[in-house]
Amino acid sequence: MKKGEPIFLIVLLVISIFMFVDSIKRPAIHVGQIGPGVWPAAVSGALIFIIISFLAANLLEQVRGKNSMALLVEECPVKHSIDIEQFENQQASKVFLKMQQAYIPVLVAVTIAVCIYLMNIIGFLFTVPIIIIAMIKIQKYVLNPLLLILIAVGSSILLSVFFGTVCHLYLARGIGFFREISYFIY
Amino acid sequence: MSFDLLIHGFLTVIQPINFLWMAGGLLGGIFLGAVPGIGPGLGIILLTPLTFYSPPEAVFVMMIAMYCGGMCGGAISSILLRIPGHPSAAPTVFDGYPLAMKGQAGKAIGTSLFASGLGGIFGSLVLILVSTKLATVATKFTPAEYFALAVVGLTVIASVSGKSLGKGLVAAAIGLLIPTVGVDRITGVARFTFGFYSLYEGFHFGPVLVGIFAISEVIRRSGGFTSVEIVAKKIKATFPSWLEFKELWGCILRSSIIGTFIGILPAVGGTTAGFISYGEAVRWSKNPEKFGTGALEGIAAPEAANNAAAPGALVPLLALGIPGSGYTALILAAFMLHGLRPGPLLFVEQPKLVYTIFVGVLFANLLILLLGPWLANIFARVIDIPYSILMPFIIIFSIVGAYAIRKSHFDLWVMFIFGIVGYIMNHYDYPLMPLVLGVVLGDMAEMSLRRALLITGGSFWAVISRPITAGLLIAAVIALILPPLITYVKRKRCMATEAMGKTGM
Repeated sequence: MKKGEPIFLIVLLVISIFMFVDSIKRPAIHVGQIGPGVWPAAVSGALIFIIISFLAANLLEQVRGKNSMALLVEECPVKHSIDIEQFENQQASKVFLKMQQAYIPVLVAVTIAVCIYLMNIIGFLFTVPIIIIAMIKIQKYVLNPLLLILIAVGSSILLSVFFGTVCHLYLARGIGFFREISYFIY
Repeated sequence: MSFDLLIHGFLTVIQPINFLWMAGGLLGGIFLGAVPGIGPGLGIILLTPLTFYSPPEAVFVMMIAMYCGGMCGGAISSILLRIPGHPSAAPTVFDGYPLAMKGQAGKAIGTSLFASGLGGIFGSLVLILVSTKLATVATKFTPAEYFALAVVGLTVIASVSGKSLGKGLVAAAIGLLIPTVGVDRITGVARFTFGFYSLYEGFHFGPVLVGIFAISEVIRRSGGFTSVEIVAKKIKATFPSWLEFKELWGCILRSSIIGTFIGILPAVGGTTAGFISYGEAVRWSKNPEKFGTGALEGIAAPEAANNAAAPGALVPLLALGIPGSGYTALILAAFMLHGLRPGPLLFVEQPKLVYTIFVGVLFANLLILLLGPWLANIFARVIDIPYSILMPFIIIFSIVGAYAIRKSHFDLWVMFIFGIVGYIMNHYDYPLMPLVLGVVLGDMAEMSLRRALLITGGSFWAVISRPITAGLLIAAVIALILPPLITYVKRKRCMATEAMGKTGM
C-alpha cells in the first residue's frame, strides 16, 4: 500500500459504517415492499467487508516484514539524494522545484474552490478571467502579461456569449453591479 | 431492422446542422484522443451537461462520433510519441513508433486511420443488424431481467479495474452508494440528507462525473506532470497502396470481427480487443518476425479492432441499456441527462433517434476514411499544445456544465468535492471507471430489484430463478471472476516455467 492509503481506507470505512448503521435503522420491509435502507445497507456492508480485507492484508504484510524492507529501500535514496543535493548549488534548485511542485495541486484545488465561491458573487463573466490568469500563473507558463489579460478577458466574453446565447445554458450572474453587467453580455 | 427508419436516419444525419455537430464531434474526438492522457471520455463528460438544451439527435451523433474519433486519434500519439493516447491504442506503439522512427510516420498514421475507418464501418453494420434483433427480444424483459442486466453491466468493473479487482470493487461500491443519497423514489423516505435541503434531491450524476473525471485530472496533472514536448515534423499521412491493402485486408477483416465481438461483450473493452487482435495478427502473419519493427499489420490490427469495438460496445448500450465499456457508461449518463433511457423501450419510443445514431456511427467512420489523412496532418501538431493552456479551459467547461444542469451553486461544490475524491482515488491507484459504472447503474439496479421483489411478493428466489435472469447473473459472475482467474493462472504458469528453467540449468 502507498503511504497514506490506510488512512484513506479508514476514513472510507468510517463513512461506510455510518451509512450502514443509518440504513439498518430504517425498516427493512416498508408497506409490503423492500425498505429504503436495504440496498444502501447491502452495498455499504460489502464495502466494509472489502476495506477490512484490504487493511487486514496490509497488516499481515507488515507483520511478515515485507513492507518494512521495501520502506527502507524507498526512504534511503530519497534522504541520501536530499543530503547530497542540498550541498550542491546546481541541484538545490531542483529540490526546491520538486518541493514546490508538491504544493501545486493544493494550490490548484484551493484556487478552484475560491473561484466557485466567487462565482456566486461576481458571476461567470468576471470569474473566468481569474481562473485563466490564476491557472497559467500557477503553472508558471510564461506569457506576456498584456497578452494574458487580453486572452483572459476575450475568452470570458466569447465563452459567455457562446454558452449563454448560442447554447442557451444558464450561467451564474452574481449579485449587484456584476449581475447588471452580465445582462449586457448574455 | 427498418429501411424506412434507416432512410430517415440518413436524411437526419445529412442535415447541415446535424452533420456539423457530427463532424465537430469527430474532430474533437480525434483531438482528445491524440493528446496523451486526455481521451474522448473527458470530451463526452464535459459536453454532456453543456448540450442539455440541444436536440438529442445532434447531441448523440456528436458524442458517438467523438467516441469513434477518440479511438482512432489515440494512434497518433502512439505512433509519434510512443505514448498511447488512451489504453486501447497501446498495441499500436509496438509497430507504429518503430515505423515512425524509420521516417515513415505518415504511412503509419495513414494505415492506422485506414484500418480504423474500415473496422468502424464493419462494427457499425453489425451494430445495426444485431442491436435491432436484441432489442426485440429485450422488450419482453421485466424488472428482474433489468436488475440482472445492471449486474452484468457492473461486471465491466473486471475489465476497467486494471491490476486490482479489489480496488475496482471499492470504487464501484462508492459509485453505488452515491445515488442512494436523497429522497427514495419508491417510499419517499429521505436517506443520508442530514436535514440539508440541497441533499433532498441527491447528488446529480452530472456534477459528480464532471468532478471525478475533469477536476481530479486537472489537479493531478498540475502536480509536476510535465507536458510532453516534441517538435512536430510536417507529416503527410498516406493510406496503404493497393499492393499493401491486398496484404492487409485479411488482417483488417479478422481484427474487425474480433473487435466487434469483444466490444459487444459487456465485461471486455477495446483495450483487450486491440491486444487480442495484435496477437492473432502475429499468429496468422506470413512474416511474424517483422512485428515489432514497423509491420503495417501490427498497426492495422489493433486499430481495426479498437475502432470496431466502439460500435460493438454500443450494441448492449442501445439494445439492453447497459454499457459495454467505460466510455459507453459516459454515453449512458448523457442519455439519462436528456431524460432518455437506452434499452429496448428506446427502440419502441424513439426509433427515429436510434436509427439516426446508427447512421451517425456509420457516417463518422466513413468520415475517418475520407478526412483522416488531412486531419492527421493537423492533429500531429496539436499534441504540442501545453497542458497549462488547456487546463483553465477544462475547468471553465466543467463549471459551466455542472452549473447548467440544475442552475444550482450546490452542484459546483459537489463537483469540487468529487474532484478531490477522484484525485485521492487516482493517487492511490483506485480506478475511476468502476465508480462511474456504479453511479450510472446503481439507481437502475436498486429500483429494478425493488420493483421485481414487489412483483414477486418479496421472494428473492423467485426473482433470480427466472431463466433469463439466472442466465445473466451466472454470466455476470463468470465475467467478474474470469479475468483475475486467467491472470492468476498465467502468473502461476509463468512462475512454474521459470522455476523449471532454473532447475533445468
